[in-house]
Amino acid sequence: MAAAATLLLRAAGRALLGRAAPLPCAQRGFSDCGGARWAPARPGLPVPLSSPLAGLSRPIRIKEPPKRKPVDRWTKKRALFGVYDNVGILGGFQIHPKSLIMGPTWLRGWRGNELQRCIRKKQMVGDRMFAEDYHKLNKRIRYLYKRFNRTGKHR
Amino acid sequence: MIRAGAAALRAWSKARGWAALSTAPPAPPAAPEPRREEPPVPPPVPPPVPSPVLRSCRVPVVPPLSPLQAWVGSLRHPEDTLRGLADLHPDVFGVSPRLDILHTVATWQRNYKRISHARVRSRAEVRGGGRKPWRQKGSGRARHGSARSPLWRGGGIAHGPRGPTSYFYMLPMRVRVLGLKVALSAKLMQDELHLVDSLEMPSGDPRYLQELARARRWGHSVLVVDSDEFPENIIAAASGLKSITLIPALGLNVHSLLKHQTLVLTLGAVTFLEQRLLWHESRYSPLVPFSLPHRDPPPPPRAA
Repeated sequence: MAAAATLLLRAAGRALLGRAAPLPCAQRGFSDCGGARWAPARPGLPVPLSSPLAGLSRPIRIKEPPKRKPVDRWTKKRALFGVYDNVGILGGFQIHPKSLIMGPTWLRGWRGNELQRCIRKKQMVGDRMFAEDYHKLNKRIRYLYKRFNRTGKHR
Repeated sequence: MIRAGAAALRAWSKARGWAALSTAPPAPPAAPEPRREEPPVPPPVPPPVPSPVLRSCRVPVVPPLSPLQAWVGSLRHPEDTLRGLADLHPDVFGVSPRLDILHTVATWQRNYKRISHARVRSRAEVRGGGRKPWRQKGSGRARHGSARSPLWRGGGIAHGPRGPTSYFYMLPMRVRVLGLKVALSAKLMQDELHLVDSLEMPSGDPRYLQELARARRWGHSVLVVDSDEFPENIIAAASGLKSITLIPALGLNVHSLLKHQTLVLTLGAVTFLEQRLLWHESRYSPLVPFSLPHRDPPPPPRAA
């Protein structure tokens, strides 16, 4: 009696599944399986039965995020970063740390907005710039002056 | 019976025999021969114990503060860790752990020397784009004045990064000094500070230094600071290792202290740091830059 009941239940289930063939992907969390449908799991598959990829007739390719390239945190530059930043305090104030900054001459140990940077570049380096670059710099200074001093809320 | 008797007689004569029958008083036993005396073996002398290395603060510690203490070791042997005691000034090695100051100073160190060279061309700098592409009205297309405006493909960028930009700024001197003090105090509090009387090593083999660091459980990375020149052995050993760095005392900074797990200071470096860092507590403000010669404030009058 009980055995017959279970057999009936199983047959009903199989029929339902056969007609409807619901996409298992919605329950398993990804949107489209690329056409694979649920099929009875065969033993000996490469994927364990507990994973969402178990029991699919065609293996779905899952794309992983790209792996981070290995970064050596102990190169000479990284190990010695920041050394001599306190050379003023610890060294009798003969050297200022801003003299250790490597960069364009008009920017060493100085900070400004774009207009100030352009003006300082013109003052310090303008006479040895290329003609086209000098012309573009002048155009930029003119444009920024008008923008900062004639437009907007702060003028 | 006669043979037995003869055997007994033989045995008797082999023993004391006829002497037992004499009545003379027995001779005194012969005195024992004096044994050949060996020279006495002196007890093993223990190796001479060196006198302990003691270091007191050069800058006087004002009560109610009292100096902190730390063990002084050396690098001559992996187990030579208890050579003496050193006093450390509490205003340098015992300040409260201000993590916000550490963050401020570390961020300053990262950014103040940053110069970003990112630059894109604006519509005025892109080649071309002087002519109006088509007439204003009648063509049916949208109106445009230049083929290099930011709307166009291949046009300039409107608000992009412009030119080499510097992010330079300076924190107040006292904040940077306090950052160093907080970092040193944190190293001492977390048992990551080790004192050493000198940096002499028996060999310049990097493996010896690595083995020493592992035996003493110093961690992955070690920062070794000295105020004088380094001996050749430790220079050779550290040049073969990536995460053991040697720096002079001038080069001490918060970023390196946070990057390396352990700090090894010589006593000379401790004196140097205490003197330089404690000067700021009792100095005049710089009306004239400190690079010029100046006079220190007079010492406070002692109560009579």
